[in-house]
Amino acid sequence: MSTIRARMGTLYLDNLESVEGAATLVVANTVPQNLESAVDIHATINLQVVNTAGAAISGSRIQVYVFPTGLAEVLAYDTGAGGYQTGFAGTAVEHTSPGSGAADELWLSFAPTAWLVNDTEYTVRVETI
Amino acid sequence: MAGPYWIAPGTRQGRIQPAHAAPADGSWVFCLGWDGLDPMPDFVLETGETIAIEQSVDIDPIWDFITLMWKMRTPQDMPAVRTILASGNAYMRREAPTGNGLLDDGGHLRGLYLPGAVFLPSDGEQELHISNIAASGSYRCSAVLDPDGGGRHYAVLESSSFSPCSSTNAIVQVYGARWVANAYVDGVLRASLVETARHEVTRKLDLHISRATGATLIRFELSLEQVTS
Repeated sequence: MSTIRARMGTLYLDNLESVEGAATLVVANTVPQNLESAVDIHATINLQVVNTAGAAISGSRIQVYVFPTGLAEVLAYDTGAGGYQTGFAGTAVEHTSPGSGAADELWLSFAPTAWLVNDTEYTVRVETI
Repeated sequence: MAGPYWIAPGTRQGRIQPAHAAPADGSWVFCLGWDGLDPMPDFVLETGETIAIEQSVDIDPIWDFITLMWKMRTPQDMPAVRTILASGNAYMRREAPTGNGLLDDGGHLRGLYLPGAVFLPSDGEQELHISNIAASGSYRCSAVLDPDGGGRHYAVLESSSFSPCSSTNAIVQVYGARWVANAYVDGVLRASLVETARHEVTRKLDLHISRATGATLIRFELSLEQVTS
């Protein structure tokens, strides 16, 4: 690797806390997050689906819908139907959390093949079957 | 936390009462990088370089997540990927161009001459990728020069390893860079974040640790990554 000249970034960390009593299947770390505004219309949507019981995430059928709020739901991803659906691309990677004996997480990214519509609120809904 | 940028611990970096962020609770936060606003200070950095903190935690088996607030600020003028020459004449020379012409510096610097393209001043001190030429590869550019007043057609490459060569269809790009925030638990990536410049959001992120127990190491990193496309 070479040296380059670049400006320093910043990361603030605050309020480290433990959480217990979570549901068995949880959607975590959605970026952009709920109610976030000024999101770039080229933005990739990221989220994690995790099984807190340590079971393999592949045992759950996961469907993700991404659509402008108030309009018809659009299926963007379905583990039971080949993964990414028409109009969406991205990465779907299973992860194993620390101490788990199974790949108990699915990290998904969604890059819409067309730009998001400007000044439009979007809904991301995750269903497990 | 080593590194030449670790220059103001306790005031701009590390555990601080921030001047440019609102703590979620109380008045203290931990800051990796620099508590400031654009333009942020610049440094000569190595891509892949990391600023990190670690904390050992004794995880209770009933815990499902460790949650925290984090906010990332990305400088506006980070190096961006740019094609300087899509296809054209390029000459990789033994001589390093200087303000006085082309002089051999003794073998530690070599030059790239693009008669049909010009470099930007900001290409100096960035990494160039040169392809479709015998000495294809990545080179650090230490300066871009206009020795004859005809435009910035010359770059000084910090390399003594290539033999002079030329091409009529060379491709020359300058690589970009970005800051990435990562959180690890016992070396396992739990969350990752990249923000665009001027988009500052305080996020609550959850580190899934439902199967972990006992003594654990949590690590937060701010890493400089190379962007190649």
